[in-house]
Amino acid sequence: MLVALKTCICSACERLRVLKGLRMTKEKELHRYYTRLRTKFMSIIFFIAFIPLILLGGTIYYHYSATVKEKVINELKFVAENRKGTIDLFLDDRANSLSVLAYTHRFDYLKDKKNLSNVFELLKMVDSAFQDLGVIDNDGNQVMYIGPYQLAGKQYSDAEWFKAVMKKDVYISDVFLGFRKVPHFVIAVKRIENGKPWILRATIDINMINHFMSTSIFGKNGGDAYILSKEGIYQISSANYDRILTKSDFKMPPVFPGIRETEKRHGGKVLLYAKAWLKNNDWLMIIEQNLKDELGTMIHVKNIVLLIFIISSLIIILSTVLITTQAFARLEKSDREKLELAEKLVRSDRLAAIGKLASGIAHEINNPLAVIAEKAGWIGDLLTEEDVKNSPNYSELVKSTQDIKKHVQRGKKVISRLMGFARKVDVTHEKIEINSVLDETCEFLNKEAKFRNIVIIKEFQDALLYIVSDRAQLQQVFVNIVNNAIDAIDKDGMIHITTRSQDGGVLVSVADTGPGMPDEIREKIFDPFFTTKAVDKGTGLGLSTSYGIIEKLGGQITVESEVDKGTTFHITLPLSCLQKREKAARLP
Amino acid sequence: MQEIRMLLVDDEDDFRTTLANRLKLRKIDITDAGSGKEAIELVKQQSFDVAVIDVKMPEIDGIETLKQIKQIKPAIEIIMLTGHASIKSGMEAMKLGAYDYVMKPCDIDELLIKTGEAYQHKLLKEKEK
Repeated sequence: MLVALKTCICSACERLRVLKGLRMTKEKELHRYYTRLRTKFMSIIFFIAFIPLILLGGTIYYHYSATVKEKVINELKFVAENRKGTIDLFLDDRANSLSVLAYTHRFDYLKDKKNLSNVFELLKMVDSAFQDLGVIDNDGNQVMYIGPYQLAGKQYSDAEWFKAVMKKDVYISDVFLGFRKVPHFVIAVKRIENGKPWILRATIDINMINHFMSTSIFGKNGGDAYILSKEGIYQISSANYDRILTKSDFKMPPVFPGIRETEKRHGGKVLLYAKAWLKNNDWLMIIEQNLKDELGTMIHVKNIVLLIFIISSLIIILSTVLITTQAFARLEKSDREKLELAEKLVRSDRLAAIGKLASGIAHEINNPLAVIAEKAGWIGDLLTEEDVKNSPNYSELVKSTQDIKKHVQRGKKVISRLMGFARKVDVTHEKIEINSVLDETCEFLNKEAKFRNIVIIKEFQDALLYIVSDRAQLQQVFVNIVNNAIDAIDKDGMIHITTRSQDGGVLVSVADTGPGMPDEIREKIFDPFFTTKAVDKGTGLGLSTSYGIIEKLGGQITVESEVDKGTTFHITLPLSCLQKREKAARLP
Repeated sequence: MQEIRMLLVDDEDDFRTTLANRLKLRKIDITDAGSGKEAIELVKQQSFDVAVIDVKMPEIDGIETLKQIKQIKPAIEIIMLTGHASIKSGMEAMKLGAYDYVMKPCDIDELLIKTGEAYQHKLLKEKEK
């Protein structure tokens, strides 16, 4: 029956252990849950905070760069328009001047060297752009030439410009090398005199065009400005490259009126172009600007935006991490406390249930035990009769009845302890000095400790607060714990008992130099009927009863243990065991 | 000395009969009853000095049996037999007029002492009258 009772209660204890295991798992899960939640929460906050920040920074940067780009494009267009007008006007003016000369002077007059020289001198006085002047007859022979080269008598009938001017009357050539082998371009004007055409031709200083183009380059690091012929041949040397008369890679666009701007990304650069056709659509003027050069000022803005972004990000990250960590730590602590409380309640409920069960079973065992006791008593009575006394087995019979009585008494004790565990003993209240209670405990167990060569060291705080509690029940708890420590050490060791004030109450610690316990045993030690002692030495009720008593007195009992190092029990007691009850009573 | 007339009431037959035999051996004039109802009937028909009644019995429990016996014959001194779980009931029984209580499994010498005391108490009360 007792075995059945123990089995029954142990299964209840098993449930407690499962619950405890669940709590540990739950705590780990809780921690994992909060870690996940915190990460998620922080990610959301970062997302919410960073998106507007990035958007704002991005918008500022985008709008600023768009404004700068627009400004550059406008400037480029303005310069291109200006240069187109200037160059077209320059060429038209020179062509007109030459036309006026041709139509105000006769061929015969101009083919005279002196006359042509005089005319050239006059022309140079009003326009320094003319480099030379030549008169060519209708067969392409240069009949007279005034200028720096020896070109008199040269034959031009196969020259492109000659063929063109014969058709067009006025012709402005592309840049070419010619007989002089120097890049130049000419303006030629045809006049028909007495039915015969002749040509007045002048070389124009190409540096004038170079000058117009080079002054069209603007910006910090400068861009490029050049003129291409219809065939894509460079007509001038640019500011940066000497590439005159070389073929450009530029894809020549079809002819268009006015100014056209384009954009091209090349090698990490953003190149802006303003293009315009000049000279009756024979030349394409291109002004090029690297946007990044112009965006140089943007670096300052970009740095400021970046600095604001970094500072704001740091503030957001720091405050988010701090606030979130603190808030979640509090939440987690609160949940853990709830979990502990729930576990405690479950434990209390289980203990109460076990108590009830034990009480019922104890009563059921009590009756058969009483019958056994009476039967043994009756056999004992009958053995006093004379005829039985003469039996050869008389002494065996007497011993057996005595053994039955002894074991009934043992069973009675177990039931008594079981009832002690189950019984709701009323708590008495008196003013206690904990140190004196512990002194009594030590005195009570000192004999046993000395016998086993165990030293009990007391380190009590002087003038420890008096507490209101139940002296007898505390005595029972201390005896249980110190007794357990002695049993754990077995022989040769030390028990260290300390007392000190803590949080308006008293903390009693009992540390032993015993073998310690692994976690799986430590988790079960407060379970009823759990014992590591030999079958006839421990009932497994000592610590569970102690746990119940301390809880009833408003305190707390915890244990720390490390294998091969020892075990320490911590018992905290409130200033008054009534405090917690009053608090509990006030709870809804 | 006159034999003490005792009524032993317990629903546990083995316990009751064995205890009755042992008490008889110790010169107690014992009558036993297996239930509260039977005990009440016996009280109506016979005279007893002391009644030893188990607290926990089916139908009419020990406390109810005590009440009814005290109503029929208030002079009978009653000792309650109680298990550990029913100490409270034993105390309650004493408030209702029981002389004392003995815890099961009981020691026969303790029961005899308390029976003797109860009987003396009864005699004392009768003398006072």
